Amino acid sequence: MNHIDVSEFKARFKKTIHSVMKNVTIHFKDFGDGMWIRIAWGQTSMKPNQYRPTFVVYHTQTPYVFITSLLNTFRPVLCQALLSAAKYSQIQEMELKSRCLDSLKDLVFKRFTQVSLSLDARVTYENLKEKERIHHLTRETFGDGPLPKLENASYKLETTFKGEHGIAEKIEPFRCVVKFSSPNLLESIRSLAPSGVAEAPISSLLTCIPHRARNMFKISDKKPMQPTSSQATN
Amino acid sequence: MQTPTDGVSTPQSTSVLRSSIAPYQNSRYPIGSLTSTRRRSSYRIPSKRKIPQSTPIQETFDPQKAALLLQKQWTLYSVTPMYDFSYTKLKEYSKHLSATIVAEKQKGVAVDLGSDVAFKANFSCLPGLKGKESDPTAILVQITGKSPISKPGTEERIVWTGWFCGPYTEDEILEVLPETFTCLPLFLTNGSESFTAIVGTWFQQAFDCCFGKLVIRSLDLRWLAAMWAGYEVQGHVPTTELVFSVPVEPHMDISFAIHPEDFKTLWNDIQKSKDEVTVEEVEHLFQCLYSHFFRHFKIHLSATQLVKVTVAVASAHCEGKVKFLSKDHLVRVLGFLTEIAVNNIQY
Repeated sequence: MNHIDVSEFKARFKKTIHSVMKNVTIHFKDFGDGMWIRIAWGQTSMKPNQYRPTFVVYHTQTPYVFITSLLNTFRPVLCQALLSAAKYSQIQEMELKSRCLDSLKDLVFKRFTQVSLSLDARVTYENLKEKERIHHLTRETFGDGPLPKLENASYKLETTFKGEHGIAEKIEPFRCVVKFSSPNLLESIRSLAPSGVAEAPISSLLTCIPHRARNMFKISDKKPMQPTSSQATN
Repeated sequence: MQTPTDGVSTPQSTSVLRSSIAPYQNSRYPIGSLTSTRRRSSYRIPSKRKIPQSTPIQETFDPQKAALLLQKQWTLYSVTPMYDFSYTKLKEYSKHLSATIVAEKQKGVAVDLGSDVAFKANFSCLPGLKGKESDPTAILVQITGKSPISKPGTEERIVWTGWFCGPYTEDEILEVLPETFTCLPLFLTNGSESFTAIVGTWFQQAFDCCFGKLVIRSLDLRWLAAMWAGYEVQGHVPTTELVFSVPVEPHMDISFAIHPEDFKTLWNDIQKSKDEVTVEEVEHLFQCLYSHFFRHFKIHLSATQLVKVTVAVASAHCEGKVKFLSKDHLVRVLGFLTEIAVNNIQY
């Protein structure tokens, strides 16, 4: 679907929601090439709550929407409205969250630039000192430029305990959730190896965040050390 | 009088205890440093800790009073022994402290206390908050506020709470103290820092004691995690969570939340004796966790700082903030914090 009639989209969107819920106010506004939809939800006996609206940002030329402040109760209605308005048959959550809309767009639309150095690893790295090696690896993975802004990344790990041989081997799997948080997570990850906290190259679990446009993962042993439902190759 | 930013004043005069030894040093100075002495010996890092057994005393602890202490965030201080404190004069102290608060308010120093509200201080005992018979009884100080606009008959609101306790204080310490001193080394507060400062100053003047901000080192947090990993509590068991601060730019935090059952199984594999915990076992536990983490993320958690620990019984932050999550084992956790507080006091 490459081109849609915006006024038709708006009409269908409103119609779908109003057919299910009456106490809802919907406003549209165009900013740049994106369409902003503001939805104030109300229950049967309550007026729409104008203080906690949901915002939806939709770039009609892309198959992505960005949604903020959506209660689970209203999720099916909104998804249905988006599907019928844009004439898609399926909508799926991307497991990517951030406070910064521009960064989300950069990640989803693959707009951020990376330096790809075409170095022959075998020849070059042998002659590089450790510091230079780390610098090169970091640069190769993250580039030099500013990175999209994400605040969190979370990993639900259900893997065999790999602490030490003979310890806790009967824990199968070892259940834990690891959350990384920072004002600018990707920048923090970029400085992990140079500051000596992590080994270079940085774990693919962390470096895959920008390529996969995802910051919520569930990791299990089926595909060891790789996020589940992995399709990307990097 | 000097009033440090941590809200509790430090005296310039030297008290009986300190006069013959060393001038008072601000206890916020990192503990365990070269100058920090505990009875003229360097700071002890215990190689093992006994797991205190449940005593009948704990079970007499009033559930209503226990509820006052749970699920609130407490800021920790260490306190030197109090001179001439008497459990029979609690009413007198209540009046005296109330009057001090009124006077402070009139001076206009503590502006954030609310101008129209009438404040009252109340002292009471917390019997049952003892680890053993020889421990001094814990004291609770509550400040209530009553606004003139509130309807008559409405309950006064508690605006500030503080308590002094010292379960499982070493008998060695209690025995060397003259009878005129009361040893309650751990002071916990919840509420406005202005009140903490007023109450702290009042205690300092009345009983010649002094306060120090209590920090919990990473090492102590590791002990806390290990020692309470295996404890069962009634009701909801929160996830065991370890928070690490990573020294990178911009600053990053890593939260490592482990299913409590798996954490317990791991600890049970490591811990050998059920009566005591050794430093080797604690380090071994963390070595295993670090290693599991490293295999996934290639990050050395040993190069980061453990800043917060949440286990079923309590959560503790390195900046000296603690929340008690369960009445079970409350006294034991307090015993552990008392030990840290005693080590924080510089005689």
